[in-house]
Amino acid sequence: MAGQQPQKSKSQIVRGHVLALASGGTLRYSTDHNRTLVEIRPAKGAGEKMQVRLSRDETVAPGSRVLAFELLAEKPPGVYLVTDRYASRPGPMSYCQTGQEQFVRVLARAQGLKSGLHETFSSKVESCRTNLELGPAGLSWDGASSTLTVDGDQLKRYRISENGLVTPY
Amino acid sequence: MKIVSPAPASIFQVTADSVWPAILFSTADELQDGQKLTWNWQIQWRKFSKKGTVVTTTNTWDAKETVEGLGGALTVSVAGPGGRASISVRIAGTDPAAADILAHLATRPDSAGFDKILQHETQMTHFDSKGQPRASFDSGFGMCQLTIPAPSFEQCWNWKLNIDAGLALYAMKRQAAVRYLSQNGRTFTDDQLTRETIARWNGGPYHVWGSAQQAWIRNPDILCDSKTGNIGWDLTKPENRGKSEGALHQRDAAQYRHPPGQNDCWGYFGVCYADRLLS
Repeated sequence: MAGQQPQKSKSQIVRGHVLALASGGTLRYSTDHNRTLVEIRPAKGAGEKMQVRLSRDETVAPGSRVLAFELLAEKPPGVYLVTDRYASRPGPMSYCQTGQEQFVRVLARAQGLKSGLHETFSSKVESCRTNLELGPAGLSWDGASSTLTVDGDQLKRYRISENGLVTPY
Repeated sequence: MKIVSPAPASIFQVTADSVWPAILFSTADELQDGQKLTWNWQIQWRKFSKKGTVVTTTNTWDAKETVEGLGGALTVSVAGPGGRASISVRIAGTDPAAADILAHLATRPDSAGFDKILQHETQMTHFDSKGQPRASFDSGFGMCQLTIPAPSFEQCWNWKLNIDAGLALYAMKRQAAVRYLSQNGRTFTDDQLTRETIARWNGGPYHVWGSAQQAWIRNPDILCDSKTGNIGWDLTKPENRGKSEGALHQRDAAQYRHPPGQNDCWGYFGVCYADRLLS
């Protein structure tokens, strides 16, 4: 395991980053222990703050900060298509020591939940640990048909409904 | 009953070519027709353990076939007409020569470059000074430091099986490298494939497509610190742009003892890992 050191789990929320939403308001993401905290603050007068904690999986290095977070699409009235990336959990002999793990997710407003936001879909799209790679087309969103296309080992398409429910087709 | 051989606490050495020795247990008793001895055995090393029972009609039992592929502490209890006795011995391993490892790799398809990783990471050693499989802090065992998938008892003790398991991971990276380099009908050399595979083993691609050259080229945006294993700089970052390796090393080397943080201008790169191993 030359040059490799275990990453310690953070005991506090790591300072977040803020993205502007097309609908007004902001999306803030940060690392909260081994999860990613996403907070959405709608534009003034457009509703309450909402948040959700996104799980990672065992391939992600414990305590990894968010290496990249992108808002791929915002679908009114309260559906967000995002992708988030982390450092891989390093394996033996420097395996995936510099690798990354990436997810695509759908977050949706949830009226009945105190947090106001829930995750309706999550899929791993790139992984050094499990040898997943996106093809040249990567992740793409077609707003007209509300379709997410994932160019992975196979081309996968998902239709996303008004309330954030995801249906492969 | 008394076990007359081997002597208690004897050490049986597996050869460098992974051949298990004869481990002959004998009692002093001579058995009559129809009499039997029951040998209960258990072998244990770290979290691994196996046990079983063998019945013989003579006063000897060779444990070689029973414990082939296994090592550690072997405890044997024997019971028969003359009573009971027990003994513990140890099975230890012998490191193979580098030439034997290379010869083994040569029999395996798509292994080009894996020897460089073995040499860099574990100096091609499988056993420690006591003849036990080397273990890492995260319970990685043997020459390939196998952790996930969890290795079997045999993969810990037989260096050939250990390498084969490591090669299975390497082969997946090689497949990914071939897919990447052959996209859009592009061609590549054996050296490019090895570099691409080793970089991906550590993380990330090595090459980018050079439109001007109409060929795969090493990612020009990564400058490596040649004094380290896989540390380098992303030259697209304004803080690094236009600076020499020496200047960047002088600026950042004091921080290398900790993993790179969010605001650091240096980092670990698979490109640098491949360069280091293949330099």
